[in-house]
Amino acid sequence: MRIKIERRGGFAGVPAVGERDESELTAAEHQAIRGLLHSPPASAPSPGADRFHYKITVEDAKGKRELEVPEHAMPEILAGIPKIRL
Amino acid sequence: MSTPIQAQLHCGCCFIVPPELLRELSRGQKLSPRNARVFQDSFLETVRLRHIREGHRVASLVTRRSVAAEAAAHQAEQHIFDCGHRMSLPGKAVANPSTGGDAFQTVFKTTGQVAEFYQTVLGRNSVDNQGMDLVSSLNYGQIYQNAFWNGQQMVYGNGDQHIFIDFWKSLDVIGHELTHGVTQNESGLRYEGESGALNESLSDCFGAAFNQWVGKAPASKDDGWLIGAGIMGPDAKTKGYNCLRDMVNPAAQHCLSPQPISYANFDPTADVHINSGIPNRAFALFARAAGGNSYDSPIKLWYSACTGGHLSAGATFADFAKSTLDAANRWTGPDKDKLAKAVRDAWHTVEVPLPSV
Repeated sequence: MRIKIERRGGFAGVPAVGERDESELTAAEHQAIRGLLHSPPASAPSPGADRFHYKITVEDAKGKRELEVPEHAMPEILAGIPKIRL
Repeated sequence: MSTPIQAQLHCGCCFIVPPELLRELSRGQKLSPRNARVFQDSFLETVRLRHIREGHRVASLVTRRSVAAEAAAHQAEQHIFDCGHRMSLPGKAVANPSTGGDAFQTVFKTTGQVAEFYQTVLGRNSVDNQGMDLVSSLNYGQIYQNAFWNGQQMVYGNGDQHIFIDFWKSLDVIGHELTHGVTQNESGLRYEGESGALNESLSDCFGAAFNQWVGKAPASKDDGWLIGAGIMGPDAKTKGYNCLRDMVNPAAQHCLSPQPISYANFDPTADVHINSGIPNRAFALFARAAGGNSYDSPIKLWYSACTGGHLSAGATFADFAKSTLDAANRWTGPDKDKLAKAVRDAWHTVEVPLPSV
């Protein structure tokens, strides 16, 4: 399994991205990914303005799946994976 | 109980036959005494109901006036919270923010200045114009590279200290976030597409004008149009980025988040913080052409366009451009013609269509 997490939005409006192979995921990160795949959150944006929005792409034996995750539904443990590339 | 004739004459709340005609009919020579009395009773009933209605109208005016006066008199209080690097809002209340350490003191002071800017420059009483209390939470999350408005309050992260430092360290950021609350209470611009980019632009415009107001900087000074200059971290600066956005020159290389400079480059797939560069540039060009300070006539005219009641939640750039032109046409000062020309020229430069004269 390989995951890619893309972040957009926020006050800065600067995109961020992070990728992990299954072997690089901690048990907690793995569990958070499984939870999102099992119960995908509603993709409606978080209330207010300048909130982050995430797109998670998971590729494994079952194929490629994409999840749109608003900030309020994003597990904190996964939110730190995307980084800004200067 | 109403007689059949009375039932036809009025329904208890409005009158089919004018009261004056009822009075004339009641005096008719050919009427039987019974029917004359019916018309007379109906006339008296209309007079009684008219007096009751007038009483209610006056009472509601008095109540409305007193509610409005109460709202205008209410002064917003500030509440500062410490999230302790957790993502739970609002966090722990800071008992004495004015003496609670550099971060709390600065946010308390700057938020108060934003409220003062709205009050003294624009005549607005806080976020909702009714003295709504101002709530700010600091130290949100771990290495959280953002500040946001959650619909009820402002929230600030500490950045990673490499690309971004603490998000409360830029005056315009605090003005930006509070302005999202103002927009929410006015047009409620939808946070997508052109209306979303307008929503973002308004926060940058009022944030920049607030920043220039604090520094008493004229519109001609370039630094006052940089958004996020105070939160750039050492790594970003080393790479030559001195701001997130530059309202005068949105596509400049010194911007970490470059933006399109005209409507011809509008990207429908982009985040609202990208396309906001187009109306941002229009405001900066307008304010510079108007001369003097952005926080005088220019921001007042933009505020009038936002609060004039004609800006819908789904407004396009062209809709907003028209609102600013309408605001210029409503302007009563001696610089009316100059402002109207500057507004028109600014939107023309960024290629947003305006109605023909």
